[in-house]
Amino acid sequence: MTQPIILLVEDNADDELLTVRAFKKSNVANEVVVVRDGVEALDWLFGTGEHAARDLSVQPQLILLDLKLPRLDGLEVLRRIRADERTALLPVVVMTSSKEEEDIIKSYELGANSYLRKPVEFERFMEAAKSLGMYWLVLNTRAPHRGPSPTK
Amino acid sequence: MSWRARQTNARERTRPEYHRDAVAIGPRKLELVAFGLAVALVLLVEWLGYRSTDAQVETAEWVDHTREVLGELDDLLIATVDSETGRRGFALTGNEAMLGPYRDASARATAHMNALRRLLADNPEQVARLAALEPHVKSRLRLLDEAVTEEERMPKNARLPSAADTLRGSDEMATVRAGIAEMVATERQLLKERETRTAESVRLSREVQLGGAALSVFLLTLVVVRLQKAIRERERSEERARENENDLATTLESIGDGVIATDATGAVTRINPVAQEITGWDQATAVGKSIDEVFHLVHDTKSTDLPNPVREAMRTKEVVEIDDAALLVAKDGKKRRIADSAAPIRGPEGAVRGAVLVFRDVTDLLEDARQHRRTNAFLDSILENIPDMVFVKDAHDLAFVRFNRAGEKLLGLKREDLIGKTDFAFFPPDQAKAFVDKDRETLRGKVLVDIPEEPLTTSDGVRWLHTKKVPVVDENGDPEYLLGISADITDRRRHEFLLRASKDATEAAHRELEAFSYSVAHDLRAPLRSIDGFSQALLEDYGDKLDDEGRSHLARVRNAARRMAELIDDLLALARVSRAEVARVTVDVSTLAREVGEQAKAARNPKAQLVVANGLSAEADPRLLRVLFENLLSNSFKFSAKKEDARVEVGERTENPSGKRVLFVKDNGAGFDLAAANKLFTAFQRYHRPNEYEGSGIGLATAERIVSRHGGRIWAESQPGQGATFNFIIDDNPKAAT
Repeated sequence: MTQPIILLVEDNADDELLTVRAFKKSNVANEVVVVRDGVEALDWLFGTGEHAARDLSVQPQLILLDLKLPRLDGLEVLRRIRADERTALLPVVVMTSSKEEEDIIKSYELGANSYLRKPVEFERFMEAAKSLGMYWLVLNTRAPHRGPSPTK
Repeated sequence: MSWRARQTNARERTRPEYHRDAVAIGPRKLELVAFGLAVALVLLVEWLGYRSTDAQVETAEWVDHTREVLGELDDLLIATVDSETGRRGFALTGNEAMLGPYRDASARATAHMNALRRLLADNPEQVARLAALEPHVKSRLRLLDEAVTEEERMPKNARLPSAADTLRGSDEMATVRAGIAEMVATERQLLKERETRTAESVRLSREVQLGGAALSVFLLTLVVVRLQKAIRERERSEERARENENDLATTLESIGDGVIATDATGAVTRINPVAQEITGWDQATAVGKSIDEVFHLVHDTKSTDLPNPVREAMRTKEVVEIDDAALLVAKDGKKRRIADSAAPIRGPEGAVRGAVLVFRDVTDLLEDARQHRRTNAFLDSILENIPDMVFVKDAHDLAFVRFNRAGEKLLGLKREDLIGKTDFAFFPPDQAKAFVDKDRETLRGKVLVDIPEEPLTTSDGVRWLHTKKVPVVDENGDPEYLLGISADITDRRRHEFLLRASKDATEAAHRELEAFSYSVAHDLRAPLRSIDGFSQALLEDYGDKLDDEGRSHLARVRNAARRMAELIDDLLALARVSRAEVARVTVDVSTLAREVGEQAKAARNPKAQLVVANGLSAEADPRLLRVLFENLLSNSFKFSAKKEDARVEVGERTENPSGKRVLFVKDNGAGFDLAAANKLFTAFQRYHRPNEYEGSGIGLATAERIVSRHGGRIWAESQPGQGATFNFIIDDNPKAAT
């Protein structure tokens, strides 16, 4: 495990592509794992369902979470992440197109580390991705890993 | 007739008896008789005393007389004896000298005899005895004389007492002695009798005097006591009369009614203060005047004179009362409505001595009664016109005692059919029981019972009522009546149902709108992001494969995407403003305007000048106020961007004449023609062409919505090329902040 993983929870393929492109352009070289909905996000994080075989010792350095997700919405995903001690301390940045106050407040209430509105202008999207990568992946000191020990 | 005689109840009414309170001091016979008797007694006693004294004096005279007679008798005996003794001495001694006493004594005896004759002249018995005695005395004296004569002739030495004389002389002497002794005894007897009579007379006299005096004293005491009692009684009755007069005066002074008394001629004798006030006549003027002058009645409507009740009372000798139609004309000519009665005053013999008139001013009373009737009519009218059913039930049997028109209409029954009956007479038993149960509950609890909904079966079908039941208690706090007020809420119920349905529908629509807004925010922006993002990616990755025109097209695609994003954001903002709660606090407007203004300036025209007055404040929702300034300041910087010396000012002024504080945002930009800008504050209406100034056309609509949500107003002042001023009033605070 050379580079920490970024977990991108995003159902929109365009946004996924643009996000990855923005990271690349900003020289963020971390592996980006993409999951398509809330259920899959939790499966991946807790090694259940289709990700039952995943090595749970590997946990993301940062979770980018869209709020409007199929199957299980982002706020519920956030609540469950914070409810499980294995993932409670992971940095979660909510990234969404909503500017609704209610969403912002709820996100922070549920323990989001940051709230980022996806700008329409790609340049500003790039700036956002860049500063995200800079802060969360480089400057921020992570909480000590408390996830399950490697099985092998 | 203005009055009428009261026949039967005239005497039932108690009224003061106006007769002089004289105490009957008639001839006091007993005292006079006793006094006369006492005087007679005194006279009698005096007379008796006089008589008794007279008798005593007479007795004393008689005693003296008797003693004189006895003395004379003694002296007669002594003179006779002396005469005998003298002769005997002469006879024995022969002495001539001895004849002196003898002669002297004989003369004395004759003198005493004469004296006795004189003294006993009034007593024939003694005179007879004296007459019987006298010859014997004379005979004795003659015998002695004969003896002396004989003896003188004898020699002096031989003289011897004559024996003849001695024998005869002795007999005569004894007879004389016996005669005198008898006379003495008689005289003593007489004396004794007289003394006894005198003593008796004295005793009787004393007894009579004592008894008479005692009786006199008794009688006089009796008279004095009786007289004192009579005097006391008189004093008491005078005192009573004075008190009565005082009481009467005080009563008349303080009585609430007017009282006038007259004598038999109808002249005023008394008039109390109330009567003086009502009639306008003062006491000094009224007394002595005719009652017709002082108390003048006229008919209220006809204004004709009415007979004087005093005259009528004296004529009929009955109490008379004044008719309702009577008005009293006071001295000043003012007319007052009075209630009155007049009563005759009878003397002790039943003759009418005068009359008394009692009256009061009932102008106010009648006015009160009229007012009372008006009030009652008013209350009745209110009760009848209350659109709710109002009913009153008797607290005991719960029978209706009062019912209003709305109730009649609701039930389809007339009150005549309802009054006196209970609910069971009109409603299905279960309903009636429910009503009555609530009635009982109300009366038991003594508090208002509110029945929000209850069904009532009427001829018109079931109606729903909202009923309030109130116990009406008497002065002891016990329920007397039950007051019920029922509003027919059948229609309201239906409306409420419809309203609820409509509200539900509105809420559903609202929820849909929220969902829509949310969806717009997310779903519409995502494709725009793709359009812009991939256009940029295309430019970056394949820009060299495109010519200038191709790159220009891509730039226009990206521009359009951004404008649409703005439009969506503005629409969402407007929607948010419309449904946001307005929570007013005191907002530091100067600070807010500076902060928002600096951002707008930086975004729109960094070279422009921003001037914000100090000390601005407003009572407003801070978030909405921020959005308002964002829109207005953004506009101002936008439309002044082409000016060299662009200037945007935020300040306040006072509006005339309301005195309200107006906040304004003023620029010296392009301005606009107000006449053409009538839809300035309507969404999507733009004054400038899109290629002149960018914008969604929603900003001012949002601004207007914010101001109107605060209950204020916003208006613009502008001319093309002269800049624009946006004014708004957002609170009622007339005081400019310092």
